[in-house]
Amino acid sequence: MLQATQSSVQYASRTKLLDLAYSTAQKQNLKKVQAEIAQGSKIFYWLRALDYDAYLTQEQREKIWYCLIELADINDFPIAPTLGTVNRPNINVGGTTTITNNNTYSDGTPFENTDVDTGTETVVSIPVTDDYGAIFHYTIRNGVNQRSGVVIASWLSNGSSVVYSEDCTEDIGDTSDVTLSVDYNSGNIRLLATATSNNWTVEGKYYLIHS
Amino acid sequence: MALDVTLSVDISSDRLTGTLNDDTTYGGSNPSRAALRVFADGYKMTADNTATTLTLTSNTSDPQTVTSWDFDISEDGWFKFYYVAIPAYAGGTTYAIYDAVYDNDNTVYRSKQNGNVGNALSNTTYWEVITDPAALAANLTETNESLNITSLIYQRVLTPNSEYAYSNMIGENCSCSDCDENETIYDYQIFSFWLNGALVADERTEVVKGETICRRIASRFIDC
Repeated sequence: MLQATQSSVQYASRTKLLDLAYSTAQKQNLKKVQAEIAQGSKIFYWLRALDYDAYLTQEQREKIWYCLIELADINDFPIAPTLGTVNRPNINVGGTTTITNNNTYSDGTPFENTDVDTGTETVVSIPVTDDYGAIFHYTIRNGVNQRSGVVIASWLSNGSSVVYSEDCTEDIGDTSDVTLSVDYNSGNIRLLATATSNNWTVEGKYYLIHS
Repeated sequence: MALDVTLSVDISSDRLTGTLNDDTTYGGSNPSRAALRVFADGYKMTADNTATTLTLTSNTSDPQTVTSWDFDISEDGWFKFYYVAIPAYAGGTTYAIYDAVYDNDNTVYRSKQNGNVGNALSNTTYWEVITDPAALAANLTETNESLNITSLIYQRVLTPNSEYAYSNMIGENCSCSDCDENETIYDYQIFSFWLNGALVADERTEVVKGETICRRIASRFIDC
């Protein structure tokens, strides 16, 4: 049996509801956005139905989920098989060495700078202790302009050398006004955002790479 | 300074007053409250990031014990609050530039130099008085951030007037015998859709979107 995660469907649907409310709220002539208002209202009503979850059968619940997935244009929505409780996998690498995958997404440390303006700003600053590298998963956004990506950084413990690379999605809209970099400053590794316009948000999670 | 801060906002039943609450548990894994002085500022923001200062009235004038601040809610929308918790000056500590401390009179000073150790707070070569300590939170993540204090920018999209107007509209119309039902239901539909959009904006801290939606609710359903 395939089972979508209800909280994921609700979260994505509420994101769509917010985007539709925001776009229609900017229009003076509501007749031109009647379809969007109807779409947003339906999402709200369907979500409200899930509030009465305790009274629904699994079949009814799934019908609402699929309606929401279609209604909210949730493309490529992850529908995973029901696996029950799954232990984190162990990966054997040669001999007896074992790498345990315990670095799930929820283990990362969140960071955000919700107001990156023209110039260079620190997004996150990490004290250099026993770590020699980090992976930054990020999203940069400003209105309808957005990209997501990964910055990988490595440094010597005294900060004398810092290298980094970036891999990212194509832009939704245009995010070329913002570039990311990594430097060492006073015992801290910093993820920096350099912008040529105002009001950008840079957020995500980072994972330290231990020696 | 590792301090896990929890803030919240309550709204009075007449929707005229909000209260910013410091729900932080001091002590334990957090520093004790006696070792800190806490300050807050508040602003009503517009979607183009223009700030209007709110008058915050604290429950006590003592920054060592203050736990809440009242403010007027003139309209729904984006509210921004600055919170800072500042440690006491310690003579043996080496302060970096922009570090902030308080003295026995609860006056806040900011270091003007790196390697600032053993210099009296009255020495203006090394220290400057900060008259609005909460404003230090505005430097969070900037190059002039005060790294030895705890700063927080807490943002909300508050919708008490919209919620009241929605309920009031339903209440007024439900007993209306000559209203155009299709028209009123269309209004309910738009209103509930926008209001819930604003509530999601609050939940996600999408404050510009929330402010924009609140202004549109106000122009269509409240101000007219």
